[in-house]
Amino acid sequence: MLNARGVTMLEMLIALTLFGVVAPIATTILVRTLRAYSRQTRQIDEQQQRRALTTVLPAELRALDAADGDIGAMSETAIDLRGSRWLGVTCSALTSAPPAGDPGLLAVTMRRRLFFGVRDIDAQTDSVLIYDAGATMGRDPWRPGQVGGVAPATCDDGEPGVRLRIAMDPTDGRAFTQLRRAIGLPLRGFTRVQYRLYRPAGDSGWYVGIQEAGGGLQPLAGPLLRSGFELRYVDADGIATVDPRRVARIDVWLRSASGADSFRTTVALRNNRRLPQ
Amino acid sequence: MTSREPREQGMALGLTLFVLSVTGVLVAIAFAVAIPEHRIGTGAVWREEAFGDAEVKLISHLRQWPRGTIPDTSAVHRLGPDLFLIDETGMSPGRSGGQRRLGLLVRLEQPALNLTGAVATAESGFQAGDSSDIVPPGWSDCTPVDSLGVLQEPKGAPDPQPDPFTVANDMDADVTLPGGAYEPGPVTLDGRCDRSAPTNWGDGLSPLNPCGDYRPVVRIAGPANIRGGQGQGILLVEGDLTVTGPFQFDGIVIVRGVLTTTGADTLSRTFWGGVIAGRVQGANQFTYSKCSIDKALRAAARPKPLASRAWGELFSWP
Repeated sequence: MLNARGVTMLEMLIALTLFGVVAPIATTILVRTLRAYSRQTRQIDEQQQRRALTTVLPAELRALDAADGDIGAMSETAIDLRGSRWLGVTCSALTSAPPAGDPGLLAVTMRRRLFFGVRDIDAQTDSVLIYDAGATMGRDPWRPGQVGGVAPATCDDGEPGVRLRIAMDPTDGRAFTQLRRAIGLPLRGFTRVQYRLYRPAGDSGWYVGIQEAGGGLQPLAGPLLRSGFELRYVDADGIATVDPRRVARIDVWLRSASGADSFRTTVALRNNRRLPQ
Repeated sequence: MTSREPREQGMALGLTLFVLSVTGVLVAIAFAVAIPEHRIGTGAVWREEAFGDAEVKLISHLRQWPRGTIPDTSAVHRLGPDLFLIDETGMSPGRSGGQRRLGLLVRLEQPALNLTGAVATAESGFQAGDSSDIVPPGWSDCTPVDSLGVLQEPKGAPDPQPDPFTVANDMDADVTLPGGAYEPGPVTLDGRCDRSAPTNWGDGLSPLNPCGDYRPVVRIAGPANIRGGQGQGILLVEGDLTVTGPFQFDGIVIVRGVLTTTGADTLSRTFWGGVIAGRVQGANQFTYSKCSIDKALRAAARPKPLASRAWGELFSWP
């Protein structure tokens, strides 16, 4: 049966009124949800980048020995440093003389089992410091060298090792009289690395970038405010310093471009020379 | 003829369902993104907790390192005769999620005492006296003597830096006693050396007995009178030391004041090793023994982090 009854004006008015009430509410909820989602996504992104920086940079700074020249240059927005990359221990005594014509060359074998690093040895860029255990008690000199080659080798006791050719200071006679004979000397591997605030070409945002020796500048965190990355250097007495060799603590500030997220961390340098004992 | 049911359905329900669906999807996406993010954030907190735990463990290792020995633990790698790597993994409390591995390079450091003769006094500018190196009777595990029992050329004055009294002040003592009269001797408990007894200063007369390898650092914080007995290790006396009975000490004796022997048979007061005193009087028998000195210094060695670059985070590679 055909129901020919139509919609009355009153019904239509009620329907329109209800729609007029419900629709703005629904729209508002939808828009706010979208905004919240967008904001949360941005915050998560900023937090992830901040976390990347706050994981990498403090770990780098903690391992510094500023008194021994690990900080090359420093400013409020950049720091150039000798970044620790690996630690090894010698496992073979070498008694042979350095090759003729290359008096500064020292070859050492490191035990693989006691090799610790964020990466493997880079023969192109890595420098080393070798501990001189025979030095006067109370003084711990680390003798510098430059890695010139890496090859698999075997320790004196048959364990797997890795052979490093290291260019030492040829005038440092002690390096050859002491270091070549010794087993169980720690070696630390380093590379030059720079952290700095920069703005990529064509980008409106500022970023903290990392640049290792032989590599390009890579963004580590951003976008940030123009003043979004700040470094402050403090000496052992808690006084701000501009002398790289006196730095005992570094404060790091990070502020996101949105201003919603800021972060500060304080890093005490763990490897600075201790006071005489 | 067709009949059609009237459509009384409005838009509100559809619209509501649509909005709820969209909102639900967005909330679900937000949760999907936020949950891993929350986990990563929590993981970062755990890592920091683990870092703190690892640092505490490193320090504990240093503090609890038994004097003069090497801890029997896989966390300590011996690199050289006196060089070690403490390798500690910190854990986030109560959770398995966070781990950090830290290392500390330490060196067993002996007290910086340079004794090259039987006796050196402040009065004589710490000039070493008789430097004939003799192994104490009954000691079998000594390296060859410096002089093979023959009086050597005097080795000159000990290094004036650092001052031996300053070194003595900085030394941690195993036994600290007030000034007074003592008659030390080895003490055993159930067949083992009782190192908690304050008058047990080791057994230098019988190296194979339970206290034969116990060489404590004994500090007497004032004038002392030793009526007899024996001991070995390092004896630090903050005042005068008077020995009134038969007494033998193997190792190092540092007396800030005057070392005096009195009574009959003063030659039964024997010191094997090296003596440093403000002044010496009486008929003591001082015998230089490099073996006694080395053993005393080695027993007093303490692990100390390298003066620089001792600390490092250890990453396994590859």
